Amino acid sequence: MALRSAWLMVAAMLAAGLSARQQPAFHATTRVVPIYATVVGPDGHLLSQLTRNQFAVFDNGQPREIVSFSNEPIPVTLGGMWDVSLSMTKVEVRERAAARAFVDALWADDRLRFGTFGDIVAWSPLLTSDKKTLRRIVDEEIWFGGATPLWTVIEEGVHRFAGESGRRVLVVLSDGNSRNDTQSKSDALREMQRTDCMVYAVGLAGSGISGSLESVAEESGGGHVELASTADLDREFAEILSELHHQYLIGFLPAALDGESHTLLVRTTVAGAKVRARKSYIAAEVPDR
Amino acid sequence: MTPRSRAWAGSVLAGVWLLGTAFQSTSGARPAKILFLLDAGARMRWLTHSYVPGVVTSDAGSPAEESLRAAARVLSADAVVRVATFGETMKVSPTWEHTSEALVAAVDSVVVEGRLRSPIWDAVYQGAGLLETTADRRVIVLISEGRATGNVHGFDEAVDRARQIGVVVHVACPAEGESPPKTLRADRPNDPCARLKRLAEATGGRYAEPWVSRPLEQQLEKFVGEVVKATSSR
Repeated sequence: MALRSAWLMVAAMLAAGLSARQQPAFHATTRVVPIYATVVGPDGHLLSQLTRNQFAVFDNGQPREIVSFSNEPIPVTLGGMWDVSLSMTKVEVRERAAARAFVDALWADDRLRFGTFGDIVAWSPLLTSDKKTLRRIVDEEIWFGGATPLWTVIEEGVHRFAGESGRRVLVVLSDGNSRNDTQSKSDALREMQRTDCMVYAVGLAGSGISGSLESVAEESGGGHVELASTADLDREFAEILSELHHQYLIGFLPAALDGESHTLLVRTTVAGAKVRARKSYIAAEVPDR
Repeated sequence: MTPRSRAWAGSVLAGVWLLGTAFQSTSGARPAKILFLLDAGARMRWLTHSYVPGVVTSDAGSPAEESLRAAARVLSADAVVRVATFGETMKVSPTWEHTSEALVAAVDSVVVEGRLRSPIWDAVYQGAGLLETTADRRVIVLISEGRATGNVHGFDEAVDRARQIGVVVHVACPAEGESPPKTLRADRPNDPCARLKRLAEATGGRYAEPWVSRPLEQQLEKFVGEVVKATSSR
C-alpha cells in the first residue's frame, strides 16, 4: 500500500512537469529518497542526457528500484562561502575576481546567499537572484584576516539552507586548512548528511585545496576543483554552474526506515563514466529538516 | 585597562571630543539630535567592553562610555543624544539624553555580545531614518573600523539616504599600525576606512582617524585644536 502511494505521488510529481518552481516533494509523508547525481564521461565531459535505465542505485549494498527520475535543469539555491583568512591573502585579488565570476555565472532563477569566513563568519542576510545586489555585496563585503573556521562554516552553512526546498549547494572557496574551529569535520559531515545539502569545493592555485575539504565535497556528492592561476574564471564558474544544473534527480524507496545511516552507491551502465552522488543518507520516515 | 586598550580608548575619546566640540561650537543655530552609532562587530568588541589583563568585561569604563562622558561635557545645552550598536541587529537606547550619567546608561543598554558581523551601511541607513522626523539638526557620529559585512543596504544607498534626510555623518575610523601613518589610511586603495571617509565627506561631516598608539593628550590637543580653528573660521 505504501509502495502504491509512493508511486502515485511520484507519478503526480512527474506529471506536474518538474518545472523550475515546482520542486519535487520528496520530503512528504512517504519517503522517496532523492539523490542528485553528476555523470562525467571518460573524456571528462559532463553527460547530461542519460536515461533512467542507465542508472542503478544501491542502498547498503542492495539494489533498489528507481521510482522517479529527472534530468531537467532546475534552479539551484546556493550558499557561497569565501575563505578570507590570512592564509588566503596571497590570492586576494584572484579570490575577489572569483566571487564576481561566480555571481556572473548564476542562472536566472538561481538564488545565492554570499558570505565570508575569517575573523568572523559573516553571511549576507540576502538570499537573492538579483545580480546587481550580489555584485554590490562581493564588491563591498570581502575583508581579509583571521583564522579558518572551515568546519563551523560548513556545518552552519548546510544547516542554514536546510529549510530551503529543491537543490541546495554550498560552494566553498578555501584552501581547506581549518584553524580555530569550534566544529569538527565529523560535525560538518553529520549535518551535511542530515540536511542532504551538497558541498562544492573550489581552490585557487597558489593557496591550493586540502584533501580533507575535497573528501567532504565528495561525501556530499559535490565536486571539487583547483583553479589554475591562468584559468579563465568566468568560464570556470560557468562550467561549475552548468554542472550543478545538469545533475540527475533520482528517487528510490528505501527498504527500511530504521533511522540509521545507510551507504549509497549510484552506478551507470555507460562504459568508463563516473557518477558523483552523495555516499550516505539517514533512513528516517521524514528527513529531519 | 591594558596600555593598548587605554590607547584605543584614548583615541576614540579624542575623536568624540573633536566631534562633540564641533556640536558645541555650532550651537546657537537649531538644537541638535545626535545619534552615536557604535560598531559592535567582532573587530570592534573593545569599544563597548572594558579590558583588564586577560579578561574582557562589559562593566563600567569601556571606551564607548568614556567617549560618551566626553561628549556630554562638551554638548551644547540644546543637544540630545541617543546611542546605538550594530552587529547581528541594531540596538538603540530608548530615549534622547543629555547628561553624562544618562549617556553612560545608554551605552550600557545597547552592549551586545558575540563575534558579530558589521552592517555599517544598514546602521547608517536606519540611523538616518531615526532622525527623519525631527526638526532639529540631524547628526550621526559613527565609530567603526570600516569592514562592512552583512548589509541589506549598500554604501551608496546609505549615503543617498543620509543626504536625502539631511543627516550629517561624522566618522572616527581608528587606525592601527607600527608607526604613525604618513597619510590617512582612508586615502589608500581598498582600505576599510576609505568608504567611511567618503561617507563623511558626502554628508558634510568630519572624518577622524585616531592612531591607536599615540598618547591621548597629544591627540586631544591636535583634534581640539583643529576643531577650534575650523569653527572659528566659519
